[in-house]
Amino acid sequence: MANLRDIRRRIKSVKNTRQITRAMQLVSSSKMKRAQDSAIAGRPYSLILANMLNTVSNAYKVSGETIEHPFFQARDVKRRGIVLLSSDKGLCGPLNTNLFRLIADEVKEDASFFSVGKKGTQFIQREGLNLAGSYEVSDKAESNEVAPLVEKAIEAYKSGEVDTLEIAYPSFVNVLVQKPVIMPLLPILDLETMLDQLKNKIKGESDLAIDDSRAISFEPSPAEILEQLPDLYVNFMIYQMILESRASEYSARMVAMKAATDNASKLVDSLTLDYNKARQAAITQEILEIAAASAA
Amino acid sequence: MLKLEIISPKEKVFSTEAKQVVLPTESGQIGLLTGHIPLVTQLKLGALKVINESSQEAFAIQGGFAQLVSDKISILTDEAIAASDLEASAIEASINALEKQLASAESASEKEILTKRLKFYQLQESLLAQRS
Repeated sequence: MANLRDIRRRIKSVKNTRQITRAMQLVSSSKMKRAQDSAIAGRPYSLILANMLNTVSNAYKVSGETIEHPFFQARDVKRRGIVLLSSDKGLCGPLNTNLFRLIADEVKEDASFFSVGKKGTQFIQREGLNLAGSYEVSDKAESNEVAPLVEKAIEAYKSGEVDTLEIAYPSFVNVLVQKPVIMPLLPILDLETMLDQLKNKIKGESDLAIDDSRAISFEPSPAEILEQLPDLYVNFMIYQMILESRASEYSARMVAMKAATDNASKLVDSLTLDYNKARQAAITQEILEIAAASAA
Repeated sequence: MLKLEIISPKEKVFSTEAKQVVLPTESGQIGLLTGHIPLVTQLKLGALKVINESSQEAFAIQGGFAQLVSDKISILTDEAIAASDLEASAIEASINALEKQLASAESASEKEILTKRLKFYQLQESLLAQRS
């Protein structure tokens, strides 16, 4: 049986750890609420934006013209451009690991990575992958923090440095489940599917306008709107995914920390039991010794 | 009646019904009534007006896009605020703070962002002046 002082020391240290993990659990759960709210708040915007883009590109198709904009043209993929959204800190369960495994499995060809989050940057460097840029986005995730990343990624796509733009991020399914996905963003080829996915996600939060068979007019002109709209779309989509990956991160951390807290509690219980047994044994021993001494 | 929704990346700012809506666009103001043909337009910084029989409301909007389909108008904008929610002291404080930041701003992109914000608050100021 271990000595009493050792057990007491261990109980104390486990309790300290439990206090830390519990604090982290509480912090993550409040941050998660906020991140989730802002991710959900951005959904109507993304839906209408995608719908608007779809309307404009359909109008082009009807008129028989092809869209000159580089975002709408499929190219031979020589090098993929991937925006990797990971967390800055660990202690969030298998969240980052799952995402990195997906990348290792799916991305076999040449690719350039734009990384948000320290963990992702470390992964890319460790694996010897091509890092095009790493960016930091604070906890608040303001839209102007995302601007440099978006600018660089769009520029790389326009200049032909990369031939696609994809986002790899942990998609938020619910608090217990985060699914790593690689979502294609550019070139914009299949807006309809994209729109359906968005609609499924949002489900009744915002109803889209019913189709109108009359010809659509554009002000000032379709070409000018097409100048601005795709950029805004890419910009906002990346921003929205960052918000969503934040929600995933915090919920993963909350769950991981809850498990850690529970484990610590169990450990404290079993150590306390050991401690009491040891104490009891010591007392019994002492009584035996006294009894033996008085009998002699 | 027209249905109007103003949406910013952060929230659904406003949702209402209106008889007539006036949008500030690059090529001037566009007034929309029910039965208007479908329209997609780019908006510039300016006042969006919602007109009903007895009342009129104004919103300051920070540019963006608008879509009108089947009498439903969706406005996508970075920022929007109702004229009735404006407060003179808050606007003045923001303008002063921004002017100071602008004076000390170095990079061109930073200046651009600050100027954009400053213009938005100046617009709010002028809306407030019209209100009173």
